[in-house]
Amino acid sequence: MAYTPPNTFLPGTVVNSVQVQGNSDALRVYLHDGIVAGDLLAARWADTRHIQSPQVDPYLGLQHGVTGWQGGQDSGGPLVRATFTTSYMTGGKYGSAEWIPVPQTALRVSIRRPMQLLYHYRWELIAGPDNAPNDAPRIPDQDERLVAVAPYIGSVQFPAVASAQDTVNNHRGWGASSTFSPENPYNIVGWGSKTGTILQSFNGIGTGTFGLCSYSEVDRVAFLNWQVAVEGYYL
Amino acid sequence: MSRIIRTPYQPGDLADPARANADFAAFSQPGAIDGFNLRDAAIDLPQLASNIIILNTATTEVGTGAAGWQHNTPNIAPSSVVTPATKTPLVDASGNPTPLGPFAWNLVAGDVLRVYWDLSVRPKYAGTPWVGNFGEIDIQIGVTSSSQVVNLGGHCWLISLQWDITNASLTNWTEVFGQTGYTSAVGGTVGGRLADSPASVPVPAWKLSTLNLLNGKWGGSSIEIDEPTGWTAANGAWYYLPAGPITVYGLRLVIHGIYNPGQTATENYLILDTGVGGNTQVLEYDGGTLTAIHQRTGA
Repeated sequence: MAYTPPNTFLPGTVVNSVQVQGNSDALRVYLHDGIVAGDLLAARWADTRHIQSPQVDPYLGLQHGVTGWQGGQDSGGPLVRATFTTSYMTGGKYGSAEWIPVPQTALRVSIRRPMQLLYHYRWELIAGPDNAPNDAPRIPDQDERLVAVAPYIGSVQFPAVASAQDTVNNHRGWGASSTFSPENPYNIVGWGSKTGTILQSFNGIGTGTFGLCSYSEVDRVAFLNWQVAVEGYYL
Repeated sequence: MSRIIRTPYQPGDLADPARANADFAAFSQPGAIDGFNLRDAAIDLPQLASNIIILNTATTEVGTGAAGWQHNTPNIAPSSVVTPATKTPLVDASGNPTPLGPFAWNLVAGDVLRVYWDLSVRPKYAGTPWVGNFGEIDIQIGVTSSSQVVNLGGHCWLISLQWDITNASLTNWTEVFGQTGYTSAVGGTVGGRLADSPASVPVPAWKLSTLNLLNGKWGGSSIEIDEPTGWTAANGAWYYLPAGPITVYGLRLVIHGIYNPGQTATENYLILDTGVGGNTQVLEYDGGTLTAIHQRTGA
């Protein structure tokens, strides 16, 4: 409600103190009480597309705000939070194709609006040596045994196998003079440092889960370093 | 939003009706204390840009895609025996190209184009194609004056990013901004500067090692051994900050090789080694992904 002076003064007339006081009184009332309910919008005028409550998850290294989600976590350096995969769990040596999660390497975020999200990931692993006898076709030859790692979104039941990346077994086996070390060091064979980025669209609200999964034909695979991070933008 | 600033009355001022009217009218519109001034303009919503950060996104499976992850029937990219190298675009299991596009993304200054890709690959070779070709050096044998020839093992395939900035027909592929085509004459062959290779990813063609070296000298009892690379993956990323308007219609990956590190007095290069090329030297590839995102970085 706008202020309208109750009295108007005309040239050539006496400026009446009562009228001046009346205008001032009306102004005082307006300044103190002039904001009537009609001036305030009862309905919501700023919704979540304008303002998102900030959220910081220090454990997962994630930050949420108006723009979306940013952040992630890593292994903390070589061997700090090393993880693993193994053919004993994937069944990769025995004709199975079971993808399993790589322990620790998952994030979960709350999607509050339609969003475009980039999922960045990286890992560094050593595969084998695995010189167990081959038994084709169930057990691949030593030099054909692979560990595949892929990102997944939502559930490990849906690995993004188009983005799977392989590392071959350290297939020279264990050392001839000492079985405590591989015949060939990992800087020759059996070492894989891979990275990748995939795009995911979310059309509604919900929960987004992002992680790494693996399919291994190699007995022992150690992830020395890994990193998962999201970069999501609300539309 | 408005602020009402009026000159105060001073002792001796005349009671001017026009001034008194103006003083009171100042509290009327547009200086009213109402919903617009207190709610809308006070928070200055008109000053908040409504544009989102992401302008365009696209992603696609390249090569044999998800179906190829077990490498049952990989595709093959040949090596070159002539210069310059033929660049082989990725195709699916039926031989159809797998570019990202067509689309028409209008980039302007202040935007950024970000591209990410990965691809499963396996270099294949027969025999010892590196013998007698680029990268060979002599290693002294023990304390004698004789030497052993070994190869540094730096040969590699390249996976490079190309774009079409002509039209949506996707028939006018060129190297992306800042990326060399490896066609410069250098060292008796052709190549490109490493500094001009932001959108190329190398894949080792083979792994050579000499386990019997000691203090940089040949031990004499072990020969140079080669280790097949096996199935592995190549992955890359490329960013582009346009200086002015440009329209991008598509992106694709190409495979070419085999290259070897080379140098002039002032520059490091990757140079094409046609001597190691041949029918038995190929790069097998399967599936991968190619993702692009067009974002606004400024206002």
